[in-house]
Amino acid sequence: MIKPTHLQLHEIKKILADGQISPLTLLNEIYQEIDEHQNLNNYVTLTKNLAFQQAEISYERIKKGNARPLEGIPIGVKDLYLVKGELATSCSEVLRDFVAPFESHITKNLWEKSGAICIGKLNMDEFAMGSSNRTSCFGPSINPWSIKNGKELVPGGSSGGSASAVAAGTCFAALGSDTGGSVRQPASFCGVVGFKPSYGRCSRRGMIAYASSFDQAGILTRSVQDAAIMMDQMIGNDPLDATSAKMPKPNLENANISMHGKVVGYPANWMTIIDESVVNAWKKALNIFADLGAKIEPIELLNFDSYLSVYYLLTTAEAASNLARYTGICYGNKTKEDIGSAYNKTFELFGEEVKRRIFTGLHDLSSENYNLEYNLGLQTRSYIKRQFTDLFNKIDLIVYPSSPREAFALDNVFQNPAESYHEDVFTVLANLIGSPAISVPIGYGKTGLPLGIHLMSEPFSEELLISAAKEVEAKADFIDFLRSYHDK
Amino acid sequence: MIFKIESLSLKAKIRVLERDKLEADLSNMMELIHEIQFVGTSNESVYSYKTSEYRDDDPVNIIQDENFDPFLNASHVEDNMFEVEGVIESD
Repeated sequence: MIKPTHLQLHEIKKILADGQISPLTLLNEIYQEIDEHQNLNNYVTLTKNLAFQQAEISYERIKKGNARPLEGIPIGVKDLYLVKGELATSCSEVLRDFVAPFESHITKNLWEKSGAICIGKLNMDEFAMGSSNRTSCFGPSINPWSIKNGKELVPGGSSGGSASAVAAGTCFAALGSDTGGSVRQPASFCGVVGFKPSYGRCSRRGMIAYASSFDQAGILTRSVQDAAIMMDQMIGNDPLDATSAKMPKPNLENANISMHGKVVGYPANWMTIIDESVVNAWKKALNIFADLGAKIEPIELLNFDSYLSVYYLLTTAEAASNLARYTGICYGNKTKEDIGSAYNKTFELFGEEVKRRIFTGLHDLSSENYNLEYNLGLQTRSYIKRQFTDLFNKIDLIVYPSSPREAFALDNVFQNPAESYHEDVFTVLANLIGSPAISVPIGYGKTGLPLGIHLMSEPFSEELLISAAKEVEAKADFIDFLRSYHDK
Repeated sequence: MIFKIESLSLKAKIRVLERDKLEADLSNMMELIHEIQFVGTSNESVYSYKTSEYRDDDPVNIIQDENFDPFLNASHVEDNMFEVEGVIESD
């Protein structure tokens, strides 16, 4: 018999609403599950007091028959969302003891309007900078699929703790954030669904910033339907976020647009330079669309290093600007080490990767390099956006792998920073152009670990994207971690 | 409430311990970033590099100095810039 904690979100939602399990019982079972999976190092803070208060309210509301859309469902939260009165560290020594003074727009809506329950804060790369969760000051989160070959694997990043927790059954959904693939790449590594909506769909107020023109909230779940249900509650205009879009809200839970006659593009020139097992999974997805009556068209995109370069140029500049607020005065700790009175004592506490990106950003923003680097980056991004606007006049959906490979070993060493940045090689495009994108498990790589397929559509066309993702999921025959190892 | 200002500074420097490693890393990152030049070359008819004039209304353009320090306002040259008498911090 499947444990309640191992059900999908839409399944537990029904069971809770029917009164077959109480939110308090479910919460106790979830905390027991978290306790049993401590080795995964996914939760950096447990918010038990808040969770049980919320569960009491949910219990009363269900009893009185006025349940809200996510009533009593335990949710994990990436540690860059502010949850009032709880630690919000961004997994950095700089904010290790920072307590959130207010609630983020998204979490406020989830707890107060939707009735979800906040069970704890999840591990991540420091300030969301990384693709393996190894830059966290709390140590790395571990991929539950490590059990497959006995070697510890990374869950991907930066929302690695979120992806691992969802895969392992220690929450029904987890909030992530996506600046260049931080929801989609870990989803691919952990065999779960990772969905990033269009830039502007969700408010960024109360999310600790990395690169503001790229950052967007995202969600990780065990099914596309669950991602749709969650995102319906997360999307919405926030007048206090200037970049929040004033667009009609989509209805993703009921999205059901036929793929018949739709044009699906794939960058054929990328197919020759990636691993065969990844290409096979890619072809499997294209065949699914072909069987549904979609027209499959090869498209020519630039070498992916070109997109990656624009992404790293602009995000490092924005990071240098955003992280300048950690001065040790309003925000940020200071090193206790005696480094001399002339030196910045907060900067000392940033990890190596964060320091590297700040230095790069400062270089790009300096007056000497501004025009040939930062300004050029802005112009090139505009060009890429225009190029894709033209492309989306002819193509409905662009399909390619979420990552060039399966999850790698925790002790894998990158030779240099640029090599590690290639982990984001397929995902940064959606952030450059502001498109919605989703990673759906499609199969397994050469060592039997999960692979995700990446679907992307034009900005604000989430209903089409979710409809397509539901079709791929239904025909992928992918068996997730819980069903592979626990619920056979 | 009485404030005792211990010291003030306009600028705090960033300490670099492994200069050679940092320079090598930055060089490697810039190598990747300079791949940007290939974005425009695939179809030059629709795109050519034109760098526009500085926009005065763009706040980022206040950065005129290549030694720009983002921590310009971080005046913590001592452990505590302000010492507030009568307030004891708990452990």
